[in-house]
Amino acid sequence: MVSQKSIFESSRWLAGFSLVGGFSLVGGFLLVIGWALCCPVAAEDGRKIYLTQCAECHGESGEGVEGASEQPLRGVMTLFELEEYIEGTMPEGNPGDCVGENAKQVARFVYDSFYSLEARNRNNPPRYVFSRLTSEQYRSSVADLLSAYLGRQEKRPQEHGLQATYYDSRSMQNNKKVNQRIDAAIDFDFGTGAPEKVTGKEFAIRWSGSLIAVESGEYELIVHSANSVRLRLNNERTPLVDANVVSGDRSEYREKISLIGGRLYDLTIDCSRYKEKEGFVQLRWVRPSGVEEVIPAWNLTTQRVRSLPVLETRFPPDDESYGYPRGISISREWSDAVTRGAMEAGQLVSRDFERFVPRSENRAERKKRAIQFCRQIAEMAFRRELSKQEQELYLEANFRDQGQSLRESTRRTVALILESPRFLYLDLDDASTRPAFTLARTFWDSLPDSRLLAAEKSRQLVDGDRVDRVLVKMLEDQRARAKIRSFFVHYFKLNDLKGLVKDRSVHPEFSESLVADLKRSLLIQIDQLVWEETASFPQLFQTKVFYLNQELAKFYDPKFDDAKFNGDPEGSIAGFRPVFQPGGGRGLLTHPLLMSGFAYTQASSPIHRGVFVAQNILGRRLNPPPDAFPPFDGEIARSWTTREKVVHQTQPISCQRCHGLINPLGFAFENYDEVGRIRRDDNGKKVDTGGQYRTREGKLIKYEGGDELSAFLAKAKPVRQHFVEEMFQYLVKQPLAAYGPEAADRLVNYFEKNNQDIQKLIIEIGKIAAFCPPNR
Amino acid sequence: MLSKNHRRSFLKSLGASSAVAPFLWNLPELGMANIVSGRKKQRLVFMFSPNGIVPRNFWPDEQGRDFKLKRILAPLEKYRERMLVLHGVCNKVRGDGDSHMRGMGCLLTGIELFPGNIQGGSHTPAGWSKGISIDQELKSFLQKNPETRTRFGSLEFGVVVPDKADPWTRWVFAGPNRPIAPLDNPYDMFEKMYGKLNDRETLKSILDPLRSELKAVKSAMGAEGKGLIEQHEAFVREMELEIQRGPREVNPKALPRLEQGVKNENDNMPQLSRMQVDLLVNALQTDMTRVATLQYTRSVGSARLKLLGIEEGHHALSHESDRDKEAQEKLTKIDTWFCEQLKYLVDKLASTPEPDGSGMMLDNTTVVWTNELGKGNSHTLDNIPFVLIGGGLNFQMGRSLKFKRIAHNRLLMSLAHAFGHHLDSFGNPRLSEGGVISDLTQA
Repeated sequence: MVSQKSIFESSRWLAGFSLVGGFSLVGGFLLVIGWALCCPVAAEDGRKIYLTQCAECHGESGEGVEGASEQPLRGVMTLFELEEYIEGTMPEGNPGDCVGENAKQVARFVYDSFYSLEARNRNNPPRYVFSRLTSEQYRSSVADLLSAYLGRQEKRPQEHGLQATYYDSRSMQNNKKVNQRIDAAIDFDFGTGAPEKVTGKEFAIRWSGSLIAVESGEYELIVHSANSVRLRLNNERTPLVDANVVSGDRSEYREKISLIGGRLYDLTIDCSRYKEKEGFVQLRWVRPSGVEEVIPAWNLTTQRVRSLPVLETRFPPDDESYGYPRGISISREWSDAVTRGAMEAGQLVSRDFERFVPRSENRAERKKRAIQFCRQIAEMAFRRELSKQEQELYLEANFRDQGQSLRESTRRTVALILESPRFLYLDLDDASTRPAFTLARTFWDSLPDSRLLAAEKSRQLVDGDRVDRVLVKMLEDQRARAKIRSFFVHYFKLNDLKGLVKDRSVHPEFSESLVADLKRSLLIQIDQLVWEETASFPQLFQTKVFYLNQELAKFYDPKFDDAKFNGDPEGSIAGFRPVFQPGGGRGLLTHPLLMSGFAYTQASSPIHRGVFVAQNILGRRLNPPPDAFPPFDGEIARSWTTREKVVHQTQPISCQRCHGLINPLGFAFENYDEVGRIRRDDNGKKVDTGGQYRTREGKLIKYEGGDELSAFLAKAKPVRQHFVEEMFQYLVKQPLAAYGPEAADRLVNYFEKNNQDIQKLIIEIGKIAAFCPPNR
Repeated sequence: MLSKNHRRSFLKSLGASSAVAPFLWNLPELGMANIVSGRKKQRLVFMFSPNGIVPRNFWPDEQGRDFKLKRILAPLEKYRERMLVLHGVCNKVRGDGDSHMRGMGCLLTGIELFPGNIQGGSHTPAGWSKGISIDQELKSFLQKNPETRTRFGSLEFGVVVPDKADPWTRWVFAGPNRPIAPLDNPYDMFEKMYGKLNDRETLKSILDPLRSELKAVKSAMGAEGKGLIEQHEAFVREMELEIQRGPREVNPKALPRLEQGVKNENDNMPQLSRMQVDLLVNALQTDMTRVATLQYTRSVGSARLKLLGIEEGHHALSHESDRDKEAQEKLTKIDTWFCEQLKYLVDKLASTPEPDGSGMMLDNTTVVWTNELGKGNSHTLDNIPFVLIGGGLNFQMGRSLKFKRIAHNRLLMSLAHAFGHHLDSFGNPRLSEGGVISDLTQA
């Protein structure tokens, strides 16, 4: 990969260090590069004015003064807004005393010295936060740690759907095989007939492949069949559903199973019909956050994998106050869950002892192997070799009791290792802060695999280009794909859209399954944008297409033509194909999931849409509203448009400080109704999509409709800055500013110089996390 | 077994927290008093072996107290005074399924099988039983009463049961369409019985090193992390206290010792049989359950008892004609071997004192040995072998009884009544007509 000079490289160059040994320390150069440029001489005037006119009430550094203005001067206004505010209202009682150039200078001083987030970051630099593994990281790490011994390798989905083999007999004899094909989903009703190419009434079908779990949690699998069925999922030995025996009228079987998101789980279903009156079989599920539905093609693949040992133990949710899970606090619940998890892992090993510790007739040899296995587990869990004391504590002590079986000793040792603070807490010492482990956590939320460790050993994690090659490989892993996808779920606030419903009497077709399709539609498109196409960030705001399946196209496209939507043309994924946006729109912001998600059940919501664009896309910080207001719907508003109601309701000056920003952003999408369909009128009047946005610098941008707004967003620097910072924090779970006051600027520059290539950004983030020392 | 929810609420009532609770639960409480509120403990064990028996080497010729045991039952001579041999009890359930299927699926349920897709060598295809089996009926009866409630309520043992769920392989049903699989791996059964104890031992063993590691980590750490580790230490301390306050400890040395590394396969049947019986008696002794089933292979079972010098599978042999002397001899040997397994069980019960010292376990335990067929080559469901040994029920033991083709539902009902569970009918009501078999309790 040809890349512009990265932060990682330039940092190394600046620091004058060469990396030796893969994980030696790079000097803290980033701290040395100060903020000399931030205090221009002109600010001196602003400071003087502040000290004479403002400090009495606000304190010398804006810290606030008891009995006067107690609130510290820290806030979310842009420089321009601050100027306007000071010009119009300050000093209190005599606003005329500070106007014009003076107001500008004092605003600049206040803004740069302590008011803005940047200033606050500089004055009190965010630090690297001491943390533990998140619950997801714990479960993933344990699963991967053990699955390596069971021969599992993570794989990417191949074709969507399942491999199907049909037999012209109720037993699966090779000479009765009549048809092989890929079925998109298991949803067949043969009635009293039979599948294609089967001559009699009896038949057998085997479907095989993998289930793709997108999210973590408890899944319920439902087999609905009048015939003999056996479902195996993530377990080669014991079927999850064994309905081999047809008995009476029973035709539904439900079983629950815990799965880790972003993984493939081996799946086979055997089905056969004998003398039953009818033939039908359906494989449905309820996802942790979903409705019951036929498992769609997108979650099935013909790829096969070995099973993954998933802990059943439930963990309490992690702190998500920053919008993504972080392991920054602990609770009794968490401590208990870790205990249960560690014990469960011990049981797993004990139950399948021979698969982990190869048999030997010789007891001494067996013991050696068991200890060796435990040592490997400990070294992976602790991210380094064991000290003498640790060898004694973790390995020797547990294997000393001759009366205790090796199985039991191993079980205890594994439980102890996985409950040890050396596994749970991150970066306890320099030796365990290894790039391979940081990279695995950043991209996979798990532990390195043997390939990554081999790369580390052969010093491929030292040199720039070679590092890139390793990282590119890492991103091909399904776990990386899953993590990036979940970042976009966060970026587009999709988790806020759970329970999305509309007024059934108005939109009977806007069903739960339509919403599930909408979510898939958006995620499929994001996958395509990031991994398959140019991967250029502005595409998020410029793409002319949506990925729609038949149901969505029927609902959203007024020109939908059933006949044309047949088949599975080139470029379609699991039944979703790229089609031009029904409204002729641009970018993903007008995707019907977002448009319907940020809307009321019976009306659009410019405020929700505006807040979403302001916060999530522009990275503007908004104070929460002083109170919760239901949408305005008085008698006088009978004939008003939604826009008119919003304008009316947010008129007060106290509202306008935020709504002046929010509303016009939301108005741009007024040509999309509450289900995200394109519209021309609202309440009998032509929709008005005109709006304006004042940049942080005070420049006024005018636009008409979501397309023009998106065109602006595609080019706007703050949008890039926000995206880069969000992506970093989501992946690394640390503030970007902890990696130096200029880390953010450098990363944005890198992004810009590299054509805003999202993949390159991800790689660069990995390198910063792994090779740049944070401010601890 | 209790459902997860049930278990949780039970634990809550113990006041144990969620982490420790799973490791405290289900510990055997040795030495529980035998007599609770004036009523003696009653236990029932059903043992199954397949493919019918060789009648002329099985049924005593005589009726009443004075009877002689023939070859197959001869190993039980010592217990002749304490047994009932019931001839003329028939499985009269008809409907879907071949004789082996109905013989199995209706043996303890007394009710028809659902129509289904499993096709036998004859008759129509069938599915699972339409009703609950008598052992499960008794289990729920006993579990309802706090005085007779046990940890498991029932345990289902198996010996070399093929890993298949079909109507030939299941005889225990929790209800219509709800077959219960036997556990035929002694190590799994041990885990079920004592796994939690192991967990607790494991948990205890890791607390000390965990504490010392937390301390070591804390001392090498800045202020920010220290707070977190201190909290963690406090949680571990809490957990330790809860364990100390938990139920009384059991000496792990008192657990049944299982021979290690016995593979679950046909050739190890003798060892597996002994291991399962040992666990079964232990489960009864520690009052984990008062109802149990012990299933050897399955109906149509094809065990190859090489130790008896027999290479053919049991089922294939059972089809041979009565005139085939060699086959009948082999079958007799096989049946006798099963009888010896029964004897091993009964011996153990007879020699193990009740935990409270009030006699031996056999005094309060009745074992019922039965089969899915009366006779292998005819596939008859008439004259199903029912041999009862032991005590604790109000039956008059030490007799050979011959009935005139009575439905086995009535025997199942009689067993329930003996436990004080006065059912009006069991399984198919029509086949329950006549009610309990009064001869059992009257001399």
